[in-house]
Amino acid sequence: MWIRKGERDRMLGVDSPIPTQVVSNEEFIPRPQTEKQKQVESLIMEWGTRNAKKIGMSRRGYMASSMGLATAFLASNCVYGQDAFEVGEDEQFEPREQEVVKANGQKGKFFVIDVQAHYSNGIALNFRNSETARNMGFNLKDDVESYSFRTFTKEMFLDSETAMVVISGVPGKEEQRGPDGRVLEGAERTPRGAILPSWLMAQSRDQLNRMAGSQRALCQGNLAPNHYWNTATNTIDKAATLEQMERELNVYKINSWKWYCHTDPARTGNGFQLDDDNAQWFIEESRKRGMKLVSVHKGYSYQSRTLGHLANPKDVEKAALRNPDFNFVVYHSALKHGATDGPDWKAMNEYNPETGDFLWHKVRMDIKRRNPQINNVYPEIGSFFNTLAIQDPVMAMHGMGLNIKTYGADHVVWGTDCLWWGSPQWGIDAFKRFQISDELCEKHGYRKITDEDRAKIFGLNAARLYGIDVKAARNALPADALSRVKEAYLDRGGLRDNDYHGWVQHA
Amino acid sequence: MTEPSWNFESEPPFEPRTEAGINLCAYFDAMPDTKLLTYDPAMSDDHLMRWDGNFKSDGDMLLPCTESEEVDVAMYRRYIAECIRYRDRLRPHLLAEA
Repeated sequence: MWIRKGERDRMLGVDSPIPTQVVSNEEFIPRPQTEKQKQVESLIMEWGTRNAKKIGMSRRGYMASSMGLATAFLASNCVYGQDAFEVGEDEQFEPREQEVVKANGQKGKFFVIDVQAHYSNGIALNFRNSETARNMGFNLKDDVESYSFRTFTKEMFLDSETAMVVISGVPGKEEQRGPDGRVLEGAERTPRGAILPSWLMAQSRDQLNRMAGSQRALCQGNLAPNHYWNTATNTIDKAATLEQMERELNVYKINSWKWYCHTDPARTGNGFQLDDDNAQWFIEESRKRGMKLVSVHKGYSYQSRTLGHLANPKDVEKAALRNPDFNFVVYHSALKHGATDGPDWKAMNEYNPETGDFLWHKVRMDIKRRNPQINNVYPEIGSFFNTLAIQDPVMAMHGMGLNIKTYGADHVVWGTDCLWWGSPQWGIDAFKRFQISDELCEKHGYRKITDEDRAKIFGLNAARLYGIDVKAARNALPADALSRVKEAYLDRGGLRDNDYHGWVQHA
Repeated sequence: MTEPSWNFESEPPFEPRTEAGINLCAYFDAMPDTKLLTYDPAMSDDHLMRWDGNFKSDGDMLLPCTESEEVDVAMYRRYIAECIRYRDRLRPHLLAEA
């Protein structure tokens, strides 16, 4: 049985400022908590309780503070012994001014754009009335709410220093016409429900920007080359695809495409590749209409012989070379995750400590090694940096070291995959402090991550891709803009939740 | 006993094939025969979810990368029943080959 990490933590009385095991975004089966992760969790709880008492704070308040985060990073350094996070002992008791969170649009040290932020459209869960729900005793009251727009607004904006979000798509197509031929609008276009359809992302983006009175959100569009299909001829329905393309560009005014090559919303029986004929046709039609940014999921996949391999980034090479005026943002940095259980998970993921390579990150690295002229491929690090930082900080050093060494600090793009990971603030703090060891720099030719690199990765690279004016004024979202946001926020005493919404195994 | 190389995924679809259906077939292809043979269609939903071990507390399966559709218990039952028929048909042949 899989339960949400936050549910698991509440059962065990754990209140950690960083996740103490990898949570699943439903794109992989999460590994069990490792022995080292258990040690980190134990130290965080022991030290956090002790420190809070020492300075006369509640443990909950302490764990929600920057001092709690510092304690968590110290615990990780202690267990893994690599000093992956730059943190001083004194920070357990006194926050450094430069590290104090500047939440909700206040100018912080870095301009943070999160290009991979999701929420769910409150999909109805038949489970609530099921026999299982009655028998299991889980409190499901907040289940849908965990992924709601209100929680999204709270955790992305009120609880973190993220300046801008890109609401990032998930696979799903819109129906264009009703039985009477009438063009459908809004929710009519997804009559059976959808997690995050294009019409909703656009609506939410506009709502956030209206509330802030400034630009705080962008959105992607889900349309992809296999969404509208002529089943009679088993070929792409170009007319329907173009109709939807015009809608997403001109009505929704999307800011990027979001593609999942290994999914099949139109039930064609297959996915697609970036370098196949249909994708190239789509790219050319999009080019004519001025949209030249494709964000594509690569990595996390499944064992299906039919679909699984389509998430391998091998197809990025030809598409990037053939379309140098397009930019391809490769999500998850193509981390495959690999097999799940057992102590040999690194070997099963083909992790090579001599080179720092692992599945399918290596495929993407090799593309750039073979084609140094490629300048239009951008590794995105949602559920990559945060996953590896929790799973194995040395692998995180290799992953980030290779991304920067191979593609350049001016090409690595910040994303988190939150809300799965709860508020993104812990990940932001982790990356501010993250550093590659001297040993790995010397052996592998990585270089130390500078604040200049961090500034690019956190936001300046995405700003360039999306045409964002980083100097433009951005207003805070009012805490009472959504009544439920206010309610949820004040119910928690105005503190950031250490509540992680992704899935872990229920022992 | 060596696990035969099952390929339920490539069988002709017994109902309109969806992305979730493709991934669910692949999921069953990875399920050991010894486990599958202990499936009892009379299990309650609650029992089935515990027996499988890959259901979430929201009642759907954690079937990775099935992004546009959830797999609920009813769908699971349809597919595992068909998978059992597939294996019953192929098992003697594949074991003889092994």
